[in-house]
Amino acid sequence: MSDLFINSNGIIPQSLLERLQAAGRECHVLELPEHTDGAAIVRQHFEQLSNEGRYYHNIYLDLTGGFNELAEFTADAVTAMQRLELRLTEVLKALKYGSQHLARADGGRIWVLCYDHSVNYSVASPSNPITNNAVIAAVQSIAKEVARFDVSVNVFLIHPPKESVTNDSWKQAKQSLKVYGMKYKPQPVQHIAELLQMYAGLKNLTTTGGIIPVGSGIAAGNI
Amino acid sequence: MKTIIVTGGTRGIGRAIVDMLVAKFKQNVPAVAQTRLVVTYRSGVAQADALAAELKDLGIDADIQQMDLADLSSVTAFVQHVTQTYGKADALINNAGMTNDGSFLAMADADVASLIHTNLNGTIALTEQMVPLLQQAGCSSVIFMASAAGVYGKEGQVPYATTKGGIIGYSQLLARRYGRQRMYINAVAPGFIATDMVTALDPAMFEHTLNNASIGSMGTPADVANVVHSLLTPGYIQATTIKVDGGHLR
Ligand SMILES: NC(=O)c1ccc[n+]([C@@H]2O[C@H](COP(=O)([O-])OP(=O)(O)OC[C@H]3O[C@@H](n4cnc5c(N)ncnc54)[C@H](OP(=O)(O)O)[C@@H]3O)[C@@H](O)[C@H]2O)c1
Repeated sequence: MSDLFINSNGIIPQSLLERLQAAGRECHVLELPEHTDGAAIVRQHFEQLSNEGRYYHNIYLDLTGGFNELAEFTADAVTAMQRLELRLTEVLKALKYGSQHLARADGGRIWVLCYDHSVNYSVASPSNPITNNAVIAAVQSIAKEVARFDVSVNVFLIHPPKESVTNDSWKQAKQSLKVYGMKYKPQPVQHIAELLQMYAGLKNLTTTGGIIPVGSGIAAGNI
Repeated sequence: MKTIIVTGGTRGIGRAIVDMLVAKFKQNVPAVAQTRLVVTYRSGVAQADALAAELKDLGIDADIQQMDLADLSSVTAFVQHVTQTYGKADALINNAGMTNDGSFLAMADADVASLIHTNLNGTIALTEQMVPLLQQAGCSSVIFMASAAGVYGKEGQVPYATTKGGIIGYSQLLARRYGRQRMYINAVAPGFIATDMVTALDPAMFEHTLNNASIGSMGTPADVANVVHSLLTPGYIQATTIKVDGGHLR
């Protein structure tokens, strides 16, 4: 059984990919073009695989790389809206084709990787509240529909790893978030990937439709 | 004179919001006295005409406009109308919306696209274009009609829930951008509310959900309108989504 990464540019999927490969898992990567609907590529890929009677077990859909809604909407709302529509259409289709593929294989897991958008209040990091909330609602909904096929669908809502943010920025965040939540503890990307790998390796996965927070400190995924 | 805009205000929840505002007019509550209502509809001309006649009889200053959220030029024309006629907007109640339900794995791409165009892009396009008018008011409220489906997901409504989750995210993003400018931005997430949108459904689709709610029955449009009305008064509620779902037990 092998795993698929739909986009893997971010440092988190890269690190996870390396760990999975080092552990002997066969991993495939589909990089989708940035400014066009790449869902047809995903569909063709699954069709080809199904025709060969081969199926994935874990499908990772990476949404941690390449966009920052807060910055984009502030700069040019019209272009930001076009990109948003493209992205959500692509994500929904990827979830649909991925679920259909895994359903044919008697089950499997889909994992969506997102950066926790509210961390951006404290740490200079991408903030994608629209995509995140949309994708979370999509995952919670679709998980209910495909559970009977033994397909589980979950979101990892991840605080940006230590490596992606400057030290000063982390220090400021620690100071400003003293009161309500735990202080941020910057996590090396390797540690984040280790947690994700642990989930992937679970023989019996008892979570679906879940929003799994990864990180410490006050932010959307930890409240 | 304040200008309050209610999209999709000629029937269902939107109509209840209009009725609530009118009731407050009659009580001469300061927040809504001295207020002009701009109400939109998409295609229900009969309901629009009926509302216009009722408001006229009551002596209420109302302006009923056709606008289709799925058509960007219609949205732009509406904003131009508000700009030229009133020059500002004190409140924008983004209520209009639609749904296409069914098994997601079997759903046609066009049904997904129309939801994204109407509920998400249309609402965002309208709001983005309205921002200068809201800023012009000095202190303003923006309220989004999300859905419980956008908060905790719903079987049979994958793309609908996606658009409503997106609207919740957009309310957070907008608040991030304009919260310091006395723009009060929140969302309301109704559960099952007795309007055309749900009364046409087979009860088997929602009975189990109602049974899982603390109150155990469907809400009324007025239940939602009450919450919307409370959000029109500037206060300390910001970037929040208020569930009006009878206490759904997840
Ligand atoms: N009812 C519920 O249980 C429920 C639950 C959660 C959330 N909501 C949300 O609450 C809002 C109101 O729902 P409702 O139940 O009152 O719905 P409704 O009875 O179906 O009324 C929808 C309103 O939106 C307008 N509309 C629909 N598509 C439009 C478009 N493309 N452009 C502009 N206006 C459009 C309609 O205009 P016409 O009359 O001209 O067609 C109508 O005024 C929606 O956003 C809905 O998603 C409802």
